[in-house]
Amino acid sequence: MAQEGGIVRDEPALQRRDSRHPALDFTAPAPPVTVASVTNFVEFFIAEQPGLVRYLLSQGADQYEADDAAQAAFEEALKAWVSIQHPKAWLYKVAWRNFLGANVRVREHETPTEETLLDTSHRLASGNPAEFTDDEQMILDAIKALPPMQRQVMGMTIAEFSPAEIADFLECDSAAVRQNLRRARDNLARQLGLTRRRVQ
Amino acid sequence: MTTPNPDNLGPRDYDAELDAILESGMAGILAKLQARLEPQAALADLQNRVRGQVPPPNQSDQQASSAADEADTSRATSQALQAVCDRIDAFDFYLRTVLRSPDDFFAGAAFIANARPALLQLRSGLANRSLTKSQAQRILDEIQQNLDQADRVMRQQGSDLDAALRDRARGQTASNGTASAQMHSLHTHVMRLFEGSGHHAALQPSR
Repeated sequence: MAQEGGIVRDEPALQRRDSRHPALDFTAPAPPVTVASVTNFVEFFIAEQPGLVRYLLSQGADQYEADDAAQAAFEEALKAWVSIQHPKAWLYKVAWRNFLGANVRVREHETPTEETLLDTSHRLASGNPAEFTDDEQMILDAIKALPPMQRQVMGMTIAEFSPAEIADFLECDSAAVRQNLRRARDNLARQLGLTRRRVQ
Repeated sequence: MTTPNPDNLGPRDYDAELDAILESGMAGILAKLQARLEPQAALADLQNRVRGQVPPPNQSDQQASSAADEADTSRATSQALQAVCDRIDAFDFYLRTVLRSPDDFFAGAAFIANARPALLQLRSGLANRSLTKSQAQRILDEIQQNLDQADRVMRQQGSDLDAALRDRARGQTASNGTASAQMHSLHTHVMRLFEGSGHHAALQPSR
């Protein structure tokens, strides 16, 4: 915060984050919640929520699971908002883990009980389920059918992450990302009948 | 037919067609997901989660049936509820206008910004009839505390909340009275909605 002529001016949250070294700054007080940070979060939520849900759908989630995992990730993002340096990558990683965690928890209950059965009647945070066209559903299904690594790479590529960002996310090198993307595209082309059509 | 070597990262003859299919399909999916997103409700839900105040599940069938029996008497409540929602919208518009005025950052602005999500949460909870009286009271207290804090900060700068809001929103809103007067009025009208329903009773669903 800088003060000029009695007016307190707030620096943009991103500038403030970039100028700090969080690893060396654990004892410092948490950055204040400001107009800029609140506004940034709301804009970020509106901009990223649908894309995040789409990514989770492409990874095998149904709309309820995708909504829940996304909303839980945004909740964690809101709690830590002013200290997150790369919000989109952070959000996708947390949402992905939430989705995996939810699946593991469900699998661990061998016999679902009334408490473990998920009540799907009121769970959508974003209204009613979207109804996709046959073509849209076919593409989603084709991506879901890819092997896990290819599915991740394709999902993140569609979400406009660069190969370097995906490599960082998946903790592998960029060459592996490019190779998996190529294989994913070949598989998708096969599943969608593009290769067959060429032969005919 | 030659099957592409998967390790050959070069272009394929179906790349353009695949890109077109993926782009079209994914854009359609995204558009539908965007269309169903209800930002205010979702953000209010986030705020509830962060505060550990997940709203109770929807009322049981028995309660819903009981609500239907009281439909006639709830008509007046619905009108009062609409009036309160309009009042909240007007107050929120007032605060939003202040925050979006040309000089975006000023002492106390963060507290005013903090009051807005609580206002929206109050509106959403009242409109959905999912708030109890005590929850509504707690949200009103939170809004009041944020505005009090803003006022305190502004007084340290030689001004006060009402003067600052009046100056910054001049000509852009039709505000009625001071912020504290608006809050007092809002508090009265919200609490009136719960009269006769008991401290923990929620408003009955009507829309």
